[in-house]
Amino acid sequence: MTKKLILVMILALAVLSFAGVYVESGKVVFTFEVDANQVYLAGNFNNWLPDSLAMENENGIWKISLELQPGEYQYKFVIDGTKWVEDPEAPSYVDDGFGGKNGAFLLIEENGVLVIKAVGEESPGTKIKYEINENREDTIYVDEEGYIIIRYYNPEAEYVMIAGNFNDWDPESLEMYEAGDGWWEAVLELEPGIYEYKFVINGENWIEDPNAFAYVDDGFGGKNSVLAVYEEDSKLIVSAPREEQSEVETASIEIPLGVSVIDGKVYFKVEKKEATKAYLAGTFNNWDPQSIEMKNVNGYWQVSLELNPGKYQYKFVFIINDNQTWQEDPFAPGYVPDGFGGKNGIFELVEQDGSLVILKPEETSSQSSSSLSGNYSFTLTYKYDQDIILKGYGFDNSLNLIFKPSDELEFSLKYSGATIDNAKLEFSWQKLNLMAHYNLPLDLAIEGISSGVFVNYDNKFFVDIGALNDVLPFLLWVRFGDFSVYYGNKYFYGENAIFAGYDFEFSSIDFELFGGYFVESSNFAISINTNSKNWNSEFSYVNNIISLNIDVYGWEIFGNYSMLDSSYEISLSAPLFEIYKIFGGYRHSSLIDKSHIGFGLFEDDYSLRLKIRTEASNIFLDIFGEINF
Amino acid sequence: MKTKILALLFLIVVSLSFAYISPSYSFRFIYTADFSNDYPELVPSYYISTNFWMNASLMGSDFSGSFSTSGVNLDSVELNFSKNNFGLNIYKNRTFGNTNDYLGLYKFDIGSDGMMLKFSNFYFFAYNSLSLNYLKYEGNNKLFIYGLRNSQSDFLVQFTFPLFVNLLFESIYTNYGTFDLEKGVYQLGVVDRNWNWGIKYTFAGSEVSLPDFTNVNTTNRHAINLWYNFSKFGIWGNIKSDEEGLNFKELSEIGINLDFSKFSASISKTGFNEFGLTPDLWGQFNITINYPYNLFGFNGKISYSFGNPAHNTVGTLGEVYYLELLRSFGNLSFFAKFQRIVGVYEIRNTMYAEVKLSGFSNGEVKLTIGNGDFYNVNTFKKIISLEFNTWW
Repeated sequence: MTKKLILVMILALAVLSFAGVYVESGKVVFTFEVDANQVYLAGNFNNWLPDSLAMENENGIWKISLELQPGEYQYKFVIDGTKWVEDPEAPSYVDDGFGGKNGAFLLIEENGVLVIKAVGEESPGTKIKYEINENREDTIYVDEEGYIIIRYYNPEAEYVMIAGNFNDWDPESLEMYEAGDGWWEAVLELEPGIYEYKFVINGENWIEDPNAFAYVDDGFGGKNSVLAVYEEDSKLIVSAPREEQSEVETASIEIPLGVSVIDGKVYFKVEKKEATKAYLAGTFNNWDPQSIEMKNVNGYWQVSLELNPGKYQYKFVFIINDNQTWQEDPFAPGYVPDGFGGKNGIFELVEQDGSLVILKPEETSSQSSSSLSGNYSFTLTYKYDQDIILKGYGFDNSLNLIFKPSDELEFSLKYSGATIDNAKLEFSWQKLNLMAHYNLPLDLAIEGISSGVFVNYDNKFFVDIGALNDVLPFLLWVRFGDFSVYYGNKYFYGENAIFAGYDFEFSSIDFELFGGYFVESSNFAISINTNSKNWNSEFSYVNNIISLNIDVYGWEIFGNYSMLDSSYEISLSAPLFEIYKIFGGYRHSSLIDKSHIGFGLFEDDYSLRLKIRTEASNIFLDIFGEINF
Repeated sequence: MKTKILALLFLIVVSLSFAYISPSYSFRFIYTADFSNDYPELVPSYYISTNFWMNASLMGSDFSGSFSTSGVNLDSVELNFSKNNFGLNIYKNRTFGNTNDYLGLYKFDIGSDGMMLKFSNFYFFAYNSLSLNYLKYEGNNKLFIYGLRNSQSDFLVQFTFPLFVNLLFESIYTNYGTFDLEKGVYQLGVVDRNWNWGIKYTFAGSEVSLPDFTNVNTTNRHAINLWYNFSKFGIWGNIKSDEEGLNFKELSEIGINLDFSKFSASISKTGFNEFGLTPDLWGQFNITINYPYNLFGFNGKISYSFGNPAHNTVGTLGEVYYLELLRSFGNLSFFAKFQRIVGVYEIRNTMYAEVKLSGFSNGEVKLTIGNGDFYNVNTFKKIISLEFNTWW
């Protein structure tokens, strides 16, 4: 008994811990955990209306149940009616066309039960049980021109529509004609296959055809009408589904968008209405743009290939107005860069239990993603132009990656522009810390050499050794409690230097003093940093430049003055509604004067700034962003 | 020198660390011996190329993004911010932007820098590496675009009326200013709901000026496209004129496609002013028959085509024979294809073969001979490549 209880609890937990979408009592249940006032569900089942499907909060989990017909669905959650986010637990994802992702799943019927599958993982040839309608009148036939006619008697209806898997269950696209005496008539152009349908009366009531050839469970306690179309002697005939062919025919009309395996063949399917021809190109045919032609079936381009297990990349080649256009599959299991700024679809074909299946490319495991952190920043610059208003002027960016695979090892790498700008590799072992840095000076009050090997023993003894032509620059320093002494050999600005530092607290204010003497040039340098609860300041005098930075309650003032050429700079930043700031500044030098004003959004994990600046008579717009991850 | 050594050591460490840490990388090593140069002695030249990329996804509360690196370079970046109704996407060397109209106002197939600002159904695209900004409104069955490039402007309106059939209308008007019908391209269409049949008429004015990055065809002043696909049979026709509105006979096309399970065939003809008894008097035409087969454990395709031009690379009347073989032995697979073009002045033979071993959990090794791009290259290239492809 106890074992059974445990088993039941495990099964219950397994169900509860399933992805954000599952089927319960014939309904599709969407769940989402988020702290919000209201969450809505939007998807292709409600024309992506952002506020029509309100979710209910059950103990912090937002939930909604929908009755959906079998098909392919995409969705997103809309937090507080404005913010669109994808389901982090969606069965699968597809590109939303705007650089983001939609949650995606296939709702299919297996043995009369609705099941959810990831897009691209649909099992082919699912056996479906049809219930033959023995008491039907003959209201379905093929006319002389090959159209399928379905008649329906309902003298009370104002208007009748027909919806089925031939029109993606759209209740508004196919209207039935009034044939007189209470009869309604649908005229359909169908290829051989098995179709399910219902009538929609007055736009509200979905009912099955009383004279359908057969019925099948619709998954919600009701039935769908079933119609099979076969071709015999080059003529179409209609009937109930034939037992021996139902598997194949069902499979042939349910090829999902994207890439899938059906009967051992790999099927590719895509929608591109404006194309007059379509081809498939990929690593399986050396990217030949015309060797694999796709066929247009009901507005979708599709083709099947026999492929061996392996990893494949592919693209579609569309002919649009006689031009060749390469495009990635919006439903590809995964993507890789194509080397031209675009991406190729990618999938892995593997053999499991004797049959081929498509796998998504492996994703970063949670373990390794947690060991990866960093930040990325960019500045997109536009110049004001009389003709097109904003003219592209520049794009600078940098990416800083920090890998921390274990407590002992840390590795960071920074790309700036297009190439690696600097890098750092750090090992920690007991009291010893060993670090190699490339193009990245140590974090000191005065900038030292940029590349070297740094050793720290017990935070008391430090040495950094670099490499320059003919000399061996190094910095040696020793810390006694709050007091430090430094000796630099050609380490700061290529000079020998002696420095001392002292950290102390006075009246709840932390002080960091650092100062010293450059032996060759006889120059002094000094730096004083103070930190308090609500304010801090940094003052320095280095290389004949005086700098001062004060931050009080989020108000920030920065200024510097060069005693060499009398150039100076001043800037001010002020907080606004907690996460916003406005800022401005002015810089004067003997060559050019510059000024700027801007507005920014500062969140914990990212910031965005919009800056308008002038340089001489030119006006620029900078969009600066930074994200931490 | 020491600095360079240090830098090099770093890069080696970088590579090893990448390989060790992240499972979402791939690495490709291709070793190619090219024997195609006719030196007195056969001296192979070797090419080694590596493709090392990473595509990490970032997910935060208000942003998401990805970046890719190639070798030591930061190859491309995409970031998406969203706050309330607003969205901001930043792109570095990524293909972005889509007009999604029937005529194809702008097409983007190589990477660009720039941004996309979104508010509800309004989108603003600003390109940093192209001289183009455009504003787009995309509603249900309607589309409006206003684009600015250099000193020119484009205005697009598109409507679709989904009735029993789809009625389409699209207009692209260039150089907004004084009105002149000749500055636009206009399209009207009646299309089946499933696009199985349809008719479209397109008029391209003589004063239209569109950028290089467009799919709009302005070389035909009048164009009528008709198609009808039903089950295994399809027929299509394009009635086209030149830029002056003349020469319909020379430019119009017609084609028939047949698709049976045993074989498929297609026939097409361009131009109707040339007719004669012998094929050299038939003008531009093409007849192709494809036959998929399965024989002695091999499967593949045999195809024959006869036409003028015979092939993308041969401008004269001729025939193209094509054979494809595919067979796998467990984890080892074999694929080969052959092509023979018999033209009026030339005969071109080419082949390509590959043997692939794919029994590894995340890697495969492939040995190839020749160049498989038969569409662009019609002679056999004496190239042998050994490719190691791994991912983790």
